[in-house]
Amino acid sequence: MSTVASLVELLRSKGLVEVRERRRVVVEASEEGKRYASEGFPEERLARELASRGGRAPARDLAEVLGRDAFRIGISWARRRGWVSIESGIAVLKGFEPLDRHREILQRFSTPREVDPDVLQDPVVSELVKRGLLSVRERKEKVVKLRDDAVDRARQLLSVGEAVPHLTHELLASGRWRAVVLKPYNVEALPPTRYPGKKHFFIEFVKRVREVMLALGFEEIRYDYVIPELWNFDALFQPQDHPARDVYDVFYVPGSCDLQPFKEVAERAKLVHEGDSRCGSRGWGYSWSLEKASKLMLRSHATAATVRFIAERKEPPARGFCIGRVFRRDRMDATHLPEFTNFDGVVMERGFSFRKLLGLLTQIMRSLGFQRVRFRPAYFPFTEPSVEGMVLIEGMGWVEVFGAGMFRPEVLEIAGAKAPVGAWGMGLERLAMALLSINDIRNLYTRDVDFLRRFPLLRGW
Amino acid sequence: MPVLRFRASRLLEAVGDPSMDLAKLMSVLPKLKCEVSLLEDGETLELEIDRDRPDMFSLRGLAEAVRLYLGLSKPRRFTSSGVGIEVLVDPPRKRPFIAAAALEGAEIGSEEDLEELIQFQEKLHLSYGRRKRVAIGFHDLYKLPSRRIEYRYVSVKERFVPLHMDREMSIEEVLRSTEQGREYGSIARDGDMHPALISGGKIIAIPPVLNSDITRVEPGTKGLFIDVTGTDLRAVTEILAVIVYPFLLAGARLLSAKIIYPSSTIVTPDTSWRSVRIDRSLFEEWLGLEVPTEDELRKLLERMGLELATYSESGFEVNVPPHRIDVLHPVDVLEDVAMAIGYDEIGAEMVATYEVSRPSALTRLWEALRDLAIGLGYTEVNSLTLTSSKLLEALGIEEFARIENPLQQELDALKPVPLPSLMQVLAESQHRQHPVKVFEISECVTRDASSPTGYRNRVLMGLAVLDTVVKFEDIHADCFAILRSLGLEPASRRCSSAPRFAIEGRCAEIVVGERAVGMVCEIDPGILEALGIEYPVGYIELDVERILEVGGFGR
Repeated sequence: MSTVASLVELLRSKGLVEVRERRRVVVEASEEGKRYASEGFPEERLARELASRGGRAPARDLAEVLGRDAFRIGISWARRRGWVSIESGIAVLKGFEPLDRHREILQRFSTPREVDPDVLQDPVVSELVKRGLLSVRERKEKVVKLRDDAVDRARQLLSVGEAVPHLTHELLASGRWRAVVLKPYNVEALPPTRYPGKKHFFIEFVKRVREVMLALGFEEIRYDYVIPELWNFDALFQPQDHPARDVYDVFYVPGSCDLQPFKEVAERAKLVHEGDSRCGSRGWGYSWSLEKASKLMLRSHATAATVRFIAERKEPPARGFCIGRVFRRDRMDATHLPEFTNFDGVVMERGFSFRKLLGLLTQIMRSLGFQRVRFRPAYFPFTEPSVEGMVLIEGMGWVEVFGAGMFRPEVLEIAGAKAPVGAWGMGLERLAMALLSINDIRNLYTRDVDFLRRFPLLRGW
Repeated sequence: MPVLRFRASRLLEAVGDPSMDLAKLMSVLPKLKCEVSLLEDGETLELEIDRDRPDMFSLRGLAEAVRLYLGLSKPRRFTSSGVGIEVLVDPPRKRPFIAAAALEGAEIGSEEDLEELIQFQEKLHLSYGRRKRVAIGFHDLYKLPSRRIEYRYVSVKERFVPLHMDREMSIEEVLRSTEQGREYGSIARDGDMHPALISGGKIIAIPPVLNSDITRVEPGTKGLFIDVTGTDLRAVTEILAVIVYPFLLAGARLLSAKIIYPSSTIVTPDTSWRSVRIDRSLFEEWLGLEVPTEDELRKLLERMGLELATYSESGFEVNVPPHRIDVLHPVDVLEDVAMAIGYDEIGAEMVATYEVSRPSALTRLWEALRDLAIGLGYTEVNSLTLTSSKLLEALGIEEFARIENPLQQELDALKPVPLPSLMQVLAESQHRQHPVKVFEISECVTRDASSPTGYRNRVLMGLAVLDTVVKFEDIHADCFAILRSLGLEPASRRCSSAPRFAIEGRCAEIVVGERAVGMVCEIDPGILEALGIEYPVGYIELDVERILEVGGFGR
């Protein structure tokens, strides 16, 4: 109904139709009214009974003959009409006029009939309504009329059929779609904003690096974040008083590790550090502490995981890589985070040389999309020779991206490796930032979901 | 990595090549492992020099490395002119070793010379254990009351005039009230005793803390007495060799010290060169290069300050000067050869790929879970493992790893579950378009008594939904959708003891078979309020490693 109303209102506002209101009245006799029409009204029956008794009768006798209800209604209306009076329990007939018109009206409305509203003004009708013998239903009706001056426009509209906003199942199933017209939309308007579920751009970048490494035949390594210093430093021949092993540089965790499972590595670390090694090294020549090596810390580079992989394998060939979080005691700013993602790898193969390491790193960088790689000497306590790699990034020039080198013979001895090992490590955030044109490292760890919702998926690929 | 500063003009002058300009100098230094930049004043060079080459921490030493590399200079040997100092040692228990030397004609001409000397000393200290392993003292040789020195414990009640002070103080007072005393006073103090150097009855230093003012080095000083004390003999003698090197390059005359221990006597510094033998097979295997001809090899070695002693079919011998303390093994010489050739000239050798690896089962499941979460409309977030113990405690999480030496309070713990970081994302994103649906798969750190460290990484997935209304059935449905998509048939059980962050009665444990694989809950309003979140939040947690096991995906 409301749809019709709103459509009418729409047509009116467009000047196509005019609307007039009309009041309609329908009258019908009630069940009681129909009975009176055939039996006569109770006051009529009372008057006739009195007349047959000579104009006088005890009220009690009349009630008995007519029935209680009819007597009560009859006496009330007969007195009101002045036909009967009651004197000391005796009803006395004073006059009588049959109610022919009343009955006639009731007869006429034995079925519902629409009447002119003025009919309700008639005193007899009005009485019958009051007595509940006639019921009246009224309703308002709007008459919609096509305006004379809109006939042509309407004809034109009708020639295109019924317009509907949505194509529905009902329209299709009923076939009614043939009779309707799908209204054109304002297709140039902006749609509502919607965000799909989306993968994180940096994790996608990490995935891409992983795929490159798998394609080069490397297997992925995963180890814990909380580790003994042994794996982070001692196994890598980093002396125990090295400045990097300082409370200012790395995070420590209360407690220490039971080094029993790594007993052999710890024993060899002691010999090699102290200078009593078989690999031809002078060592560091200090008194090595098992307690220091067992202290718990958060790994500060993923080489802690790759050297452990080598110590578990020992026999060549083995190619492994680790992409995982590492922790350093750095204050957070646009270029530093205390936790970031390291990508480290190792190759243990007979005949694996420094030149091959440079070749492998060039291949990895090319697979990641960096065509030009440059090397320069560097220092890491656990590799010799050590090298830093730079790649050419458009708009940025040469950017230092990785550190690498051959594991020192001391490291090989501690790990028990049976062949040379080439190793490298790099922070992935910096590389991702360069590729994705992000200049604040914190954006890779944003808590603002809109930054992620709006980040272009294929940027930097 | 030590960072040193030199005035560019002084370094150029020390290199002493009239054809060399600043640009050329700055292009040579990186080939010697020095990262160099010119500061904004246009005349100060800042150099990052690796810890393995302390012989380059001084202006002269650095300049000499450049001169050698460019062929302007050949390796030079220096010898002592005889013993000029005697040190009588009664070894202090906590710091028994000392090495010493005197340098005549080691002139400190200007304030700038003095600053460079202090920088040299500081960087050596920083690189070798912050004075714990070795401590270096410089004295004006000509101010020494006597060239007979004693090194022994003295009572902390003994008094002397500390450097740059104008009055006598007791050692105890120095340790308590001076900056150096507070920083280094606990290293060598042994009860009521502290090591001291005594000359002519006067304390001239209390290593590793501070010197006396009476032997103060200042502009005008024309000779030096140097002491290096510490906990290990090799370290003190090696560092001494590094220290005298730049002065010998500048033409100073070396006088040795006779160090008399109770049971032995040694003479320092050690000026002898060491011989290192390198097998041809090691050279070729390690570098992947042929051994150069004898002449070429000699030139390459000389550019790094090394001498070729012998050369044969089986290999060669190299003489290494005493200040090159970084040479521990033949491979250290190999690196020098590679550097002399130039890393970009060595030629990279491409490596064969032998087999493409398959991602691990965990990685495959990890990626599948990411795809499913995306399909359900969740946005992936990336957050730190480091978190705040306060936040964890606010969430009612009690078992987690703490950091012993945090840098900031907000990052003093490791998250054992993904919840804390997801809640931080929701707190910051709650006024963004709803619903906010986020997830993360991350390695969390949980306590585990069966691990030798007591901790273990666990891969957990967390999903969270924030909206005006969040119905339990919706997150419950998402959780089931993920597990069913993996072919698992999950069931829910009322949590027997719900975590404190969950609403009582709105927390389900999700099981597959009889094994718990995760949980689904609505977050407690008290917790939301405490975190400043004004909308309801639903949370799903899945144990990825457990799903791997129950699903048999690892096979």
